[in-house]
Amino acid sequence: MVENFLVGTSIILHWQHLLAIIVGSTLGLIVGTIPGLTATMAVALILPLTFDLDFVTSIMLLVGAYKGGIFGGSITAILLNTPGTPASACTVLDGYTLTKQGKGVKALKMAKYSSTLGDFCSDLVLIAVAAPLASIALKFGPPEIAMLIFFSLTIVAGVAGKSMIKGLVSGCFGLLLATVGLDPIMTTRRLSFNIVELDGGISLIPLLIGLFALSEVVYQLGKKSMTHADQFVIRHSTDPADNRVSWAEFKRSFRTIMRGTAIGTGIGIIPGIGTGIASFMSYARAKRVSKNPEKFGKGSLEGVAASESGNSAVVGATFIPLLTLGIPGDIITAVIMGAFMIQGFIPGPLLFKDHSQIIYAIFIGFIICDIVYFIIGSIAMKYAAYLSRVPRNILFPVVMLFCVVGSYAIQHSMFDIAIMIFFGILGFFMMKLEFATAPLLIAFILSPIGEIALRQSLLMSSGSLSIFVTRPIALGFLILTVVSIIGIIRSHFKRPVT
Amino acid sequence: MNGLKKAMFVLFTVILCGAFALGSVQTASAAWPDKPITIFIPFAAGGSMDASARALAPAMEKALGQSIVLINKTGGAGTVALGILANAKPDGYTLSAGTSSGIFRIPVQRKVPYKPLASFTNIFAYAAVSSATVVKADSVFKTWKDLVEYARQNPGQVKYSTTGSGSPMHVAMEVAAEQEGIKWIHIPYKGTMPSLTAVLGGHVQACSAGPKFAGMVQSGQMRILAVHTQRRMGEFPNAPTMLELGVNYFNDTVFSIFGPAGMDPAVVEKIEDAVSEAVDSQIFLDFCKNFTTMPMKMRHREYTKLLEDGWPKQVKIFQKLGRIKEPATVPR
Repeated sequence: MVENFLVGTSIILHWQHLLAIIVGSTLGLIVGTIPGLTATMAVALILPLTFDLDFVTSIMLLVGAYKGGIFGGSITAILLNTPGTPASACTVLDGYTLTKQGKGVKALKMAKYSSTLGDFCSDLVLIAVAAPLASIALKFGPPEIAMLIFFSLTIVAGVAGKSMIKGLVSGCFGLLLATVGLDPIMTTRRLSFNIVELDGGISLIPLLIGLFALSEVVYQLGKKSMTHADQFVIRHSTDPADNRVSWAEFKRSFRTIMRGTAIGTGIGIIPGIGTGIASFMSYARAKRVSKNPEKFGKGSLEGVAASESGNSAVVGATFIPLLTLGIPGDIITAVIMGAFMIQGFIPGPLLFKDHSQIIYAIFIGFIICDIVYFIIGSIAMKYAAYLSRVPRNILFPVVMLFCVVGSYAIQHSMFDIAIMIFFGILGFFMMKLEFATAPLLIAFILSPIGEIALRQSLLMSSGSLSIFVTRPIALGFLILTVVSIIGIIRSHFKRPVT
Repeated sequence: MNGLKKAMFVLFTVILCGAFALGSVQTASAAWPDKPITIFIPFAAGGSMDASARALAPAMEKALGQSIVLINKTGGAGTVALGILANAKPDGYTLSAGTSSGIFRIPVQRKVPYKPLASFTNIFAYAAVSSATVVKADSVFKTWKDLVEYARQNPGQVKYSTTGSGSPMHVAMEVAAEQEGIKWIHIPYKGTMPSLTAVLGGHVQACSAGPKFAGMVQSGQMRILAVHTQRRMGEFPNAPTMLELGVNYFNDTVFSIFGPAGMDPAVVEKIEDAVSEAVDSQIFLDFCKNFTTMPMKMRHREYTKLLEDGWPKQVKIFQKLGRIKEPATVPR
């Protein structure tokens, strides 16, 4: 192993490979920053460019874009309430609130630290214990995944906002929206009103952009702005304490980051769950155990740390099933698997045997990636902070343009723009009526995975529900769900009525 | 109420922006092609369909002297892209990659927004897809017969996974079950990889999988019981075909290029020649090797005949399986 490391290091330290990491991370960061253009898209756009490159260079380019893309999404999430990727949707909750308090730069820095740390630890897990973890992940069949999703749905309570009932309504509406399209088992049409574009379901990205970004633009424009100072969306605090993360603050969030990293890594190993869920799970967990849970959603630095460490830690971990078994954990790794295959490397156990030195080179490349995008991220943030000097009569039209372009770019579909506008209007009214939008999004992301797993389980058991209690992991999640619901109800009634 | 007024204004602007994006009007020209050609890819990036189109494109660009814009339009097992293609101008600047399933397998089972045998110019079929029934390498089922006999003695105990309901992989297994008079349980997944993962995790005993099974077999994680191709596969000469095992079925899915109906025959011929040239290119042959697909050259006329003959055949299969009474879509 030591020898593999040394040879791997000597492979990766070629200038082409390092350049690939820098170029990939930069492109990923830029694409991820633009609302609607996701890390998936960055990777998919770069893929055809790699056909003529050598193997390690192309993989480093793609991995850089993946990591940079996930991180880039957080910058606009924090500064403009516009999550560039589903992964950073959760970062919006506290990140944008901090920005409104003039602490945007502080939030960005926290995001950078927790993101890099989450990524780095997850990479270490990948390098150290990839193989045994992958075989555990395989134990997650449909019943286990169904129960995991059930458990995850309790996250909704953590982001329900002021009113639990309104939060639940929002969540249920998200579940309903996710059933639109062809059903996953029998391919029957549901709620698609004979509109072909709806057969594939409502696209996530336009929904996300509409719900968060467009609604915020509309909401802001509805506000009166009398003075010149009102024109600046991003207030910039001059207090240096608001523009940096102090050692004490970092130490306070350190446990949260480590917890987020563990959750993200766990979610990443299980194929088919994804970054968005990891960040929300980490956030809900952090809120539950935090000393100041009342601060969450109102500008908690811990909240940013939880979300960012959670989504970043998924990245390294998704490569565990890919490299050891040849199973891509999410869409992005599926694209990267395509790159492996195009180059004639079939991911799986043989890859480790036949090309162990190249694999170690890639592992070390992962770590270098973390360092590179930490640096690039620091530079990008400097410029991102200039956004604070842009008055909102200029800034918001630009954001809106990106909303439209981003929604269109996903599938080159006009219909997706209509979807985005629909959810923009919905989000606006939800805000006005004080319905939290996060539960809708979480339910919408979780529901398709949960539905297919639930129905597969019932097919496997010929309709018997006992399958969920006879398998230990599924039972474990079921118990966790029940405990968590009881906890939520108790804390709900304990709260003094105001 | 000033706020609401502003909000309405904003929405109006957004809609206008959208309208501009739509307004890129295309004009037909005699000197085809004099501008970039758009080809839809009806499946997500990184998959075999996507990789095949991306492997064809460079050589096609060279042959046609114009750049090719590849756009992934996913959804509805490839029918969303075809639905949009059906309404595109037949000027040769909008084409789509797609599978024969989009013409005769899916439309038989559910209504699609196009007329399968009338909405398209079926330009060129460039690759044949492989699929197989596989089990875990340490499975007790050593042969296809083992699996069938076990299923016969234990009805409803054998579970198999596929990429989805109504896929050729699903049909292959159900045709076999019908012929053998046995019953096994189909667990559909979303995609081939998840269905293969289910076998690795021991959640199902077998998987009827598309081309990606090859990697799993080569790495020693899985074993082939039967391939669904018409003839034995070069990579796995020892694996019997379903036909050899007495199951009257082979997977006739091909990857192809479609255009809207009513295209200029001269343009069609130019595209045929370009694709044909591209099939010989090294980058495409590499794709075929890495993704376990077989290169083929089937031109417009021959391919159209294959699809037209295929329609009644598919209808019969699905009627026999009891999945449909009448085809869900009118073919013409």
